[in-house]
Amino acid sequence: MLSLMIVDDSNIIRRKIERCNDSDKFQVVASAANGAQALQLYNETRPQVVTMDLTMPEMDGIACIQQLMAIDSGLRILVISALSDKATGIEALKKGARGFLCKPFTDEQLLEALTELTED
Amino acid sequence: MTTGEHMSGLFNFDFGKYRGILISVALFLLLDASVLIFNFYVSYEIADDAVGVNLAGRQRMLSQRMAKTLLILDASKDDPVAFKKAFDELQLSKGLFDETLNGFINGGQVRGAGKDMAQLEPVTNRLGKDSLQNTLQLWLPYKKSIDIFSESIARGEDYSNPLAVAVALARTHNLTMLSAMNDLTVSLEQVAASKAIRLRGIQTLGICLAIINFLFIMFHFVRQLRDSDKVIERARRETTEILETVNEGLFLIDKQLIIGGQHSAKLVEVLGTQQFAGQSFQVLLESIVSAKDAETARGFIELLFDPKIKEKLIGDLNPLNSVEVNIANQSGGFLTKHLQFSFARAYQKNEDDVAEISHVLVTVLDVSEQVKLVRALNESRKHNESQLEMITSLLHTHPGLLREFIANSFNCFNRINNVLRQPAKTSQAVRDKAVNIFREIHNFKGEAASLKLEFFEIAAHKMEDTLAELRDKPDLTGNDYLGLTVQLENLISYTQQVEHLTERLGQFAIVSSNKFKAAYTPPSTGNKREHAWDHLQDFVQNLALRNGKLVKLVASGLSEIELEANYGQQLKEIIIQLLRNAVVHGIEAPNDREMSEKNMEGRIDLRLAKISTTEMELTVMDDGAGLDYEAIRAKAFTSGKWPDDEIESWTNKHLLGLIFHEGFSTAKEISKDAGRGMGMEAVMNHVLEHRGKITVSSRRGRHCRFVITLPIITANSNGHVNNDSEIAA
Repeated sequence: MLSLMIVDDSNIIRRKIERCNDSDKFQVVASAANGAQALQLYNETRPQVVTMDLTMPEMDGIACIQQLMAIDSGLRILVISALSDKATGIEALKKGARGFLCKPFTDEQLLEALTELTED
Repeated sequence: MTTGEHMSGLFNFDFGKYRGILISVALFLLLDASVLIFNFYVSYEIADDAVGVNLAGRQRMLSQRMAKTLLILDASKDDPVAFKKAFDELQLSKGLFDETLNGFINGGQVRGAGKDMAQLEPVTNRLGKDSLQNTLQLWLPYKKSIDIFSESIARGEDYSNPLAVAVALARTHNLTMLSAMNDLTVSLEQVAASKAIRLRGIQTLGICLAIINFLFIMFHFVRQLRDSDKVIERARRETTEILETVNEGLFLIDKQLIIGGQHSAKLVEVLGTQQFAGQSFQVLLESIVSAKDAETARGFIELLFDPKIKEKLIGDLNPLNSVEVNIANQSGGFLTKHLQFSFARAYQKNEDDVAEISHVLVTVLDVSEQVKLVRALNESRKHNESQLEMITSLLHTHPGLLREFIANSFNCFNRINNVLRQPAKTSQAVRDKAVNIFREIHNFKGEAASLKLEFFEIAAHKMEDTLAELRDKPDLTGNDYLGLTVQLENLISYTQQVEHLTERLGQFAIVSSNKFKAAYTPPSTGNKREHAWDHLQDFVQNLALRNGKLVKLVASGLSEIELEANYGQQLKEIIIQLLRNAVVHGIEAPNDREMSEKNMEGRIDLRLAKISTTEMELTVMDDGAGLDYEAIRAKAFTSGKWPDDEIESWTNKHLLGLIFHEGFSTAKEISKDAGRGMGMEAVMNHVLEHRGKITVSSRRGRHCRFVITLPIITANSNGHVNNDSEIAA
C-alpha cells in the first residue's frame, strides 16, 4: 500500500482522483489545493506518491515540484494537467516529475499511470 | 561486486567461440615445453655418455701403459731410480684401470681426468657388456700377477719370477685387452650416437606437431573469422533491406541529438534532404518547424534520455505527434506536409551488463493524407449536421411559411443579381451596390432568423461580412464583387435544395394528413393569415436565447388588416428589424434587470392597428433600458465622421436621428443579430418610401417605443407603391 498526496486546485479533480484510488494499491493521505499547501501537507504526511497539477494559485506545480525534489529526490510525482502547453509539461518533468497524465483522464488511465509510475 | 564474485565470474567466463583456439594454443605450448624438457634430459645423458667414452679411451691408454711399464721394469732391474718411477706408474695405472673397469661393470664413482670424480652407470649394451666380460677374464689373472709382483717388492724378496709372469701376461693379454677396450669405446660411442639420433627425431616430430598445430590454429581462426564476417554481412544486408523497405523514416539519435549513420530510405522522401548522418536533429527540425517547436522537441527528447522518467507516461507530451512542416523542394518552393514523429528508447548493455539508454529511435511518418481525410471527414460531418439541422428546422416550420420564405428568397436573390449586373461607372456607384445588397441580405437574414433557419442566417451573415469588407475597402472595383457572387451562387443552390426538400416533405405531409386528417385539422380561426405571424414568437424567443435574454412578446392586431403581398412583406421586414432592436439593444440581461428591480423577463408589445380607413399604426415597445444617448454620442465621436464640437452641440433628437443612419450601431461587437447599423436604415427607407412617419419615445432605464404610421395598401386598392422617392430624409 502506497501513500498518495493529491495536488490540484479543482476540488472536482481532487475528488475524482480520491474516488478512483479507492483500491488496495494506494491510500490517499493528503489533498492540497495549491503548491504551498502541498508542501505543508507533505511535511506532515510524507506520502510516497504525488499527483501534481501545474496551474494553481499561490504556488504553481513547477515551483512545488522543485521544492519537493529538494526535500526528497526519490519522490514519485505524476503531473496531471491539460495539454495546452507541452513545454510547461516538459519543464515539470525536467524538474523531477517522472510521468505525465493528460486531462481529461479516465479512472483506468489514472490507475495505469500510477502503477507504471511506482514500478521498479 | 566482491572479489570472490569477480573470481568466480572470471572462471565462469564463457570462452565460447574462443575455446578451440585457446586449447590449440595451450597444446602448442605444452608440445614446445615437452620437446624442450626431453632435449635437456637427452643432452645431459649424452654428456654423461661422453664421460664414459673418454674413460673407455683412458682404459685403452692404461692397458698400454701398464704393458709398457712392466717392460721398463724388466729392463731396468739395475737402475733403481728408473725402476722406482716405473713401479709407481704401474701401481697408479693398475689402480685406475681396475677402478674404472669396476665402474663400467657395476656403476659408481671413478676418478676422472683431473682430480674430479665422475659418475659411471653400468654398461648395459651387449657389445659393451661382452667386451667388459672378456676384459675382466683377462684382467683378473693379469692383475693378480701384478699384485704378486708388488708384494714381492714390498717384502724385499726376489721379484724376478713374479715380474716375468706379469710381463708374460702383459705380452699375451695386451692386444686382446686393447681390442676389448676399443670395443667398449665403440659401443659407448654407438649408444651416444643413437641417443643423438633419437633426440633429432623427437625434435623433428615436435616441430612437425607444432607446425600442424599452428596450421590448425590458423585454419580454425580464419574459418571462424570468415563465419563471423558472414554473419555480420548477413545481418548488415538484412538491416539494409529493412531500412530500404520500411514505410517510415527511421533513424537513431544520440544524447547530443546527433543523427546516426544509418537511416531508412523513406526518410529522404519524407524529409526531402539527403544529408542526415552526423547532423544535429535539432538543426534539421529548425529548418522545417518553428524554433519554438524545435526547442520543445529537444526538451522532450532529453526526457527520454533520463532513465528516471517513465517512457510510457510522457507520450502525450510529444510536441511532434502531428506537426505541419514546410519542406524546401528542388524548385526553391516549399511543400507543406503533416508529419508524425514518434520516439522510442533504445537500450545497450554496458560493461557491467546493465541495459542503458544509448539512443532514441525516431520514426517519421507522413500523415498528410490522414490529416486531409480527417479534415474532410469533419467537414462532411459538419455538412451532414447542417443538413440534418436544416431538415429538422424545415420540419418545424410551417410549410406555408416555408414556401413563402423560399419564394421571397428567390425574389431577394434576383434583386441582388440585378444590382450586381447593373453597370456602375463611378466608384460611388460601385460602393452603392454594396449598400443595396447589404439591405437585401439583411432583410433576408431577418426572415431566416424568424423562421429559425440557422443555415440561411449564417450564410447571410457571412455575406454581410464580405459586404462590410467591401464597404470599408478604399479603392473598390467591380471585380471585388466576385467573391460575393460565389457566395450568392451557393446560397441559391442551397435554397433550391431546400425548395426541393420542401416539396417532398409536402408530399409526405399530404399522405400523412390524409391518414390522420381528423387529428391534424387545426381549429379554424377564419383568418388565413394568422399563422403568417406565428413565427415572430419563435423569432423573438430564438433571438432572446442567443443573446442571453428572457423576453415575452405580446402581439396583437397583426392579422386584422389584409395587405398587398409585397407591402405585407415590407411591413414584416420592418417588424423583424424593430423586434431585433428591442431584444438585442432594448431588453437588458436578466441579472441587470433584477438589479434594477425589474421583472427578469422583459416584455415587448407589438401592436398593429387601423387608425383610419387609409392608415395604420405599428407600435413596438419594450420595457428595457431605453435609448442611451450618451452611448450614441460616444459612438459618433469614435466614428470620426463629424467634428467633435459639432457632436457636443447635438440634442437628443439629433442623436436619435443617428440610429437610422447607415452604418451606425452602438453594439460593441458584430454578431448575427446586431452591430452593423444597417437594419434601422432599412426601416427608415421603407417608411420614407410610403410617405410614412416614425415617432420614437424613450425613457432611460424604463422603456423605448417606436410608433410607425403607414398607409393601408390592400391587393385591391390598386396600390400606388411609390417608387419615385422624392422625399428627402
